[in-house]
Amino acid sequence: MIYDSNDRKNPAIEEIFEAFRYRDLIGQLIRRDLTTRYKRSVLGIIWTMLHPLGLMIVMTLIFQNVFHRQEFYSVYVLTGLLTFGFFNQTSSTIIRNLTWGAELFQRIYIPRASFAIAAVGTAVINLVLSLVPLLLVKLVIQSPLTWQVMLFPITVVYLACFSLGVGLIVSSIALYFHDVAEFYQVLLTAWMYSTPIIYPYDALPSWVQNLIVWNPMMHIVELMRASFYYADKTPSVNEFLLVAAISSITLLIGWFLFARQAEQFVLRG
Amino acid sequence: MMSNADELQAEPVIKIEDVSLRYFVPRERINSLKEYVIRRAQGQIVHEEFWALKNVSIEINKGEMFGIVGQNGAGKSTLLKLIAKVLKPVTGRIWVRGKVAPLLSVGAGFHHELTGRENIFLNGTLLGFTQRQMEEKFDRIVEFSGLADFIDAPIRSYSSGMVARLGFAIATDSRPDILIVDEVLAVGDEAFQAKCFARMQSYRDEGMTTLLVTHNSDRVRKFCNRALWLNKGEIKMLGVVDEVVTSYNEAFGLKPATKPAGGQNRPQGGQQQNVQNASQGQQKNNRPQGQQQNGQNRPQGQPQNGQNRPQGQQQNKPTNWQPDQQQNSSNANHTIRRKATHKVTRKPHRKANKEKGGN
Repeated sequence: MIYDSNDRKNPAIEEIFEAFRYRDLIGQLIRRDLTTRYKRSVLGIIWTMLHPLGLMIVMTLIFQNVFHRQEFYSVYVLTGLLTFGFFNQTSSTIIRNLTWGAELFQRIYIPRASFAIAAVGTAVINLVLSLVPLLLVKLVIQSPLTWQVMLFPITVVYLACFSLGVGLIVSSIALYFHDVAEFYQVLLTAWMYSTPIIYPYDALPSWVQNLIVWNPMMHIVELMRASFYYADKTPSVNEFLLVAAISSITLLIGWFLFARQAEQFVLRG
Repeated sequence: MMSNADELQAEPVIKIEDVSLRYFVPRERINSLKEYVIRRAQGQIVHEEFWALKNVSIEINKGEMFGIVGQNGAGKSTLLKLIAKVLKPVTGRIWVRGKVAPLLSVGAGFHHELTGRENIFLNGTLLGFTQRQMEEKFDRIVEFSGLADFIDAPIRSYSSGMVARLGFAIATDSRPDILIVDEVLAVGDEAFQAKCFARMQSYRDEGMTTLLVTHNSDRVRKFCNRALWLNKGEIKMLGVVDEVVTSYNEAFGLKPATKPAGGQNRPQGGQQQNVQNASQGQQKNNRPQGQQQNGQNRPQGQPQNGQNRPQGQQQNKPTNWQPDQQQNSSNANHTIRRKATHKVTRKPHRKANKEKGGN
């Protein structure tokens, strides 16, 4: 095993190999996140399921009458909340781990990307667990389950890539400007309200609709709803390709930016 | 001890060739994008370059115990980070052969809510081992750390000594080719320290290279055969441990004024020395050779120093550490009281060190 600082490979590609070599670390980090989060609470991991359910109940109670034309409103809200919650949680965790948790990176070599990937892994597990309350709600209000459920894994891959990409981009910038990490939290709130989560897209005036079409999260949320909400609407191939393009480009930009700056995380601390 | 290293002399495991590294320290901290854009437009972005290392070249051979001394901010930690792959040099080349294991400072890489068992796996994978390797190592680690009874308790209930034991046991379970020790061995009780040193010694005999960084130059003298003195990022001296440490001590011994101002690490070294000496009487097996033998037997002991441990052992305990000596008489009361305050006085120092060297 020889390390030579003169062999400089492409950092982005190197980071992929290194993250793969440290794959067991990623597993350990996911386990750490899952077990420590609820370590001292009685219900433990059940909170992962109760949390979106609680939010859904609140939203439904408040908004059901406003958007009464929307059928099975609670399922509509819950799919949106779960999708955006995934994005919110993943990108924020990545930024927090990479910008503020640098103490360890100062001491030993770890491919930093493994911390980001672990955040995605944790979120995927949480999302899958949240399907339990989602399916329960569907059962209770007798909203039908269709074959489009099979599209769920594809949507998750898109969502994961997009969230990872955004998290890496923002942390790369936040390395130079710490304010960006704070600002991102505000941005997330704005982002959430410009995504059709609580309100139906159709209820918007057309000029707003034309704006919101540019929000990538809207397309991902709609894909998720295709699996769990719309009984009769199968997303077109174009829609799938569009989201695939958005999320893979975001991830590529994020990964390259991040890998190029990996050393800077130590130099600037 | 030395002969072993001599035999292996021909085989370098670390080559540092003309390495320089700079940190960017913004003259004024610019934290917001808006500010940055404005400043950039005005051409006012000024980064102060701080060269942590300047044209450093060293070769370290297999089996060596290599000590690095220097004041805070001299570039010691930076050099270790380069070897550990944490940093890349701006110019020059680093070449390292073999598995590098850094001994982490106490508690780094542990999660306090997790149990000892879970932390062994977490910490091990952070160090680059696979899950399967850790399963294989697990029992040995638990046994070496002596924490079998607590292994399923959360780490937050451990004492710092217990955490240090676990950390050492994980990092050194299998023999690394290069062990980096950055001022961590001061923790843990004496029996465990002895165990650590015994393990390091036997690994060394098998060809492990050790890099020891410490403010305590006497410790370097005790354990190392060669030493490097870094000063403001440059090599001040490189050579046989006694010569380097003697010159290093003299350089600061001659300047008593450095004590309150720049040389905060001096009193620190003195304190630790006192602590060690105070505890020395009770324990026998903690690397008995050389513990007592400090920089001060220079007049007589200097030439054979390091080789003749047994002789040095009983020598002149009272004369150790000039700078300290000037302020404290080393009677028993003093040393004991200092021991009590040891932990408190140590903390701010480490922090200062980290701020300077780390950021």
